[in-house]
Amino acid sequence: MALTTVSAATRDRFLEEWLACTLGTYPEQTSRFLREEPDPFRNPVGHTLDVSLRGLTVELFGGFDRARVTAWLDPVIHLRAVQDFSSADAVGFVALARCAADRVAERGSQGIGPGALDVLGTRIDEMVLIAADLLDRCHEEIHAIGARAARRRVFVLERAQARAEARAAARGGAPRSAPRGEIP
Amino acid sequence: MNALSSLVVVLLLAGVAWVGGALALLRPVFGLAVPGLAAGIFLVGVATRVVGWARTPVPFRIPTTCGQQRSLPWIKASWIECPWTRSGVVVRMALEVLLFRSLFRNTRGAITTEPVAQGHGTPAAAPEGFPRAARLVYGEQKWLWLAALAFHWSFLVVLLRHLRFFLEPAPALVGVLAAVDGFFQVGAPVVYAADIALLAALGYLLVRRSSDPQVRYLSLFQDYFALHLLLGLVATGVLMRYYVRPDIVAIKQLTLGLVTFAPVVPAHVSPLFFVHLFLLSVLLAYFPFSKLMHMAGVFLSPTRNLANTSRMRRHVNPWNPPVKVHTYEEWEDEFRDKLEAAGLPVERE
Amino acid sequence: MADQTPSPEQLTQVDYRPKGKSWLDPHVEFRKGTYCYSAAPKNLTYLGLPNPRQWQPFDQDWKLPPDWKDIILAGMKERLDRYRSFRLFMDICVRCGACADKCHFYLGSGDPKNMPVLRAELIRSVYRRYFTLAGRLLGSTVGARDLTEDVLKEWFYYFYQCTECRRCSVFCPYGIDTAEITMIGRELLTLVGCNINWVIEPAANCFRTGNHLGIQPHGFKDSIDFAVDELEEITGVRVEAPINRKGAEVLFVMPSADYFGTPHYYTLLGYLALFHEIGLDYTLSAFASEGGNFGLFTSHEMIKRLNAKIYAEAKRLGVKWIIGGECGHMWRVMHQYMDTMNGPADFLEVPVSPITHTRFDHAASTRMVHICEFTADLIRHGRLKLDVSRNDHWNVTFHDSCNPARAMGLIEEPRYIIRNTCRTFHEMPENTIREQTFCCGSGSGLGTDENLEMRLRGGFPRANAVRYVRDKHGVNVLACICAIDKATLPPLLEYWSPGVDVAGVHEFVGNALLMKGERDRTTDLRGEPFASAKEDRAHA
Repeated sequence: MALTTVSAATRDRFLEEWLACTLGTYPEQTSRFLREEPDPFRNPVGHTLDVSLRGLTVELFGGFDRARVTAWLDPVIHLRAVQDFSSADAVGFVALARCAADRVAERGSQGIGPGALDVLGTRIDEMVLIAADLLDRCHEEIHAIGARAARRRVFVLERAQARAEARAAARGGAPRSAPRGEIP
Repeated sequence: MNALSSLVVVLLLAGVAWVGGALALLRPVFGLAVPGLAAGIFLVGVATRVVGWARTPVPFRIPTTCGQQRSLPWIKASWIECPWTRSGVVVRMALEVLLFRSLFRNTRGAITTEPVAQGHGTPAAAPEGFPRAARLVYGEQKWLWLAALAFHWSFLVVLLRHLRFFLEPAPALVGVLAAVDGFFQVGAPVVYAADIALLAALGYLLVRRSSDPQVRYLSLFQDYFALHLLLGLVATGVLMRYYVRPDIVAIKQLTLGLVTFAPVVPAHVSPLFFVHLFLLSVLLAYFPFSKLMHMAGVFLSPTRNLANTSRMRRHVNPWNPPVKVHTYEEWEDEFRDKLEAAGLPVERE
Repeated sequence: MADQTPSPEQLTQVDYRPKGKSWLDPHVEFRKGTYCYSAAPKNLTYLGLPNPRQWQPFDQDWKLPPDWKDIILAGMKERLDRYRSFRLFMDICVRCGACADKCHFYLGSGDPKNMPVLRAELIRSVYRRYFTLAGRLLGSTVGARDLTEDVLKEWFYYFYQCTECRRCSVFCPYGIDTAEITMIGRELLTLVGCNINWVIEPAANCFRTGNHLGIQPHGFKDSIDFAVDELEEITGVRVEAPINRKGAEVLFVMPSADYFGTPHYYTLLGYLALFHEIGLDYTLSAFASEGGNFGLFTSHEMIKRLNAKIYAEAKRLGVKWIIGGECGHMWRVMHQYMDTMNGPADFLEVPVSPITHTRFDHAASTRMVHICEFTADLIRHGRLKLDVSRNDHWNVTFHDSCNPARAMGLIEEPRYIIRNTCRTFHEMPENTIREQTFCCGSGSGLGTDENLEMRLRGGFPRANAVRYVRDKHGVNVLACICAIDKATLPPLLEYWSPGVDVAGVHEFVGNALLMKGERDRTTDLRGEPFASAKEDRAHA
């Protein structure tokens, strides 16, 4: 396929462009920090974007293994699902890869040929769909996580009450008053 | 925008002073009245502010602890970062004031270059053959510490060197300082290291403020104004020292006159000197009303100048007001049935 | 940001960057998932707090009292005169930006108003306008803003998006503590009735029943009895857990989550086992059944009102001193506020461990000792028989909770306990622990459901470091000594770093502790088989 013949330099340029477009979706006061701060613990967001887009670029120009693409997309989608983005914007950064590809392609013979560009476009489209699925899953996950957290808060209380009531019933005593008292 | 407008203001101020220095009629105003007034505002203003802060109570002992507390004797406690003695606090404050300890903390530790595993659940290494591109190490925060340190210390040195204009004879200290400072003699006149450091540091701080998107976003007019004012002050000083050598004897006459309360305005003083003096006057008069008061404020900061002895010694809040509480008796009355039913002891049956 | 789904072509043309608006523009959008619901009127009424009413942050009309502006400004004036911290921090910030990238909310969200300096500027700009000459004369030129309803809404948004973790204050060259500013900001909001329910309801419950969930005395006893029963089932040892017993030597106060939530509960089992084994003469109190203090997230006055019961109960029960359980903000209050507010505790004695006879001189005035200090001392003196292999199924890392780390300096004690009860322990990267620890993202009363997105975002820097040690060292449990951590880190890790559990330090103690008369234990306090038991089963 024409894509595998694309030079490493072009691939690097594509990545740089894509990263720049993606960082452009963050407030301008922040995007430079996200791009330049190299400490992964001080800059977890920038680091996650960097590593994932790097991995995705390899897949785009290489084998495009669905499982691996999903694995690389996942951390970024997790991130953008909880940042202040609408659903469209949360996955929109994937589509921005097209923008990067176009910019790189414009540079003539050094860039990506028209045939390769088509393949790349198809792959990017597929990536968008995977991203949308992942985002869906993130939303479900958040919902489930919230529900589990609520359960954990009263986990002991519920079990303790069930046991206390069972014991009271076994003794034939009157039903017990609720343990929690509402503010009158 | 803020950067530009503050620059314009400083340039206007400089222009006013130039005119004032050039016109014989206004020279006494710019040479004597303005500096005198500015010095007065500075002294009274700073004193007022400091007294104001000092009179505001510190209701709670709230140090920020940056190290291990003093608890069990066999646990090594951090006597500076989490002080429990007066000397610990003094050293902590000294490190803060003299070396900007907290800003230094700001420097990054070791930078991890190994690829951090990614992927959710299943760790995936960074793609093979495509490692993180080598990038410029973004050591910005270290530069901030260095520039801040360079600015404050060299400013102090320059200030002390200026003592020779105000004291006759100049104290020996000034001579020693000048000798050390001019150690790297490059041509004549002697180039002082502090002058270079001062200009470089101010330049860096200005560039950082206007080009770093984060800092630019939060910067206000007065942030640029202070920098431009200082730059103007230093620039005119440097000009006079190395390029436009004014009549030093005349200037010393004026400055000595100012501090001895025997004002004289010599005739042959360059307008450049008036610009320098006027910018200094503006700085002095502006100082008490500005963020520059951090110079005094840092000593009073309760998160730094208090020992972490909150549980060792009682700290008294002078205005500790009475509050409405829920007493045990009220509580027992409200829940008496339930307490008794559960077999919990009560005060009153 | 647009709501319709654009085509990729359109997308590539979209300029997402927020237009270069100045931060002086106060407008905020209350997007679902990023704010907390308002306090229910009944809770405000019960506590006697101003302006109880039905409203929500996303409403256009916040139903403020007509003179709300005067109330806020008078409140500011009063606080400027009462707190040197507040006055000084308003005056001396040079906006150097050293704090900018220190806030977990900023790092997770990228929202520039989450930079600590700007969080403070939200209130500082109003201070300039009404309390400084330059601000009065020059207005917005010098960063002064009129106090408008939009500004108030912005305060609400951002002061309930600060967890008062104090990380920024570690890096500030003047020690400016955003937590102090947020606390004052929230006090001012309280004056006009702009509170969140997740803070005010626990506070009201705590004021009434003694604990956050509003558990009445019999419910409290049920929970403790239940724990005693379960501990017996696991260890075969029946322990005593006396409640409101007069004349005990020690009053033990813990956060209420320890006896109604999980994983806190396993820490409680650890305490109970420990106290039984060393024969501590102690009592719990149903009245002082909450160490936590949501007053800290409301106002200084509310801290004092809720905290008063601790000393009052110690005095009534006639104990000699107090031990406090694993809790972060509770310890900020006990360490930095309690003695000043409700002391002097002259009816108590300087704490002395009855087992090791160690005198806790560092608590000579407050007379309250952290359970980790107490236990570390026991271990150091060899007074506990510990079988560390019983924690072999755990590969541990330790999260320094903000308040113990940055308001107490309690850093080594829990580590000492972990190292003596667990065999595998790995630290997270240096700039994410100890005094530089990252907040869980849910402290200061933000640990509610409706703002989960915001919490997941704010907790990302913490979770990111956990994920690193998980992948690098196979860490499977994050130890901590804070009740809010134990409630909010599990969701955080489920999202960012699945496969890592959360546990209290005394859970490890309870696991490892060899108790007199215990049966052959095969499971830990959670009912999970020990690693050795697992191996046996594999061999069989």
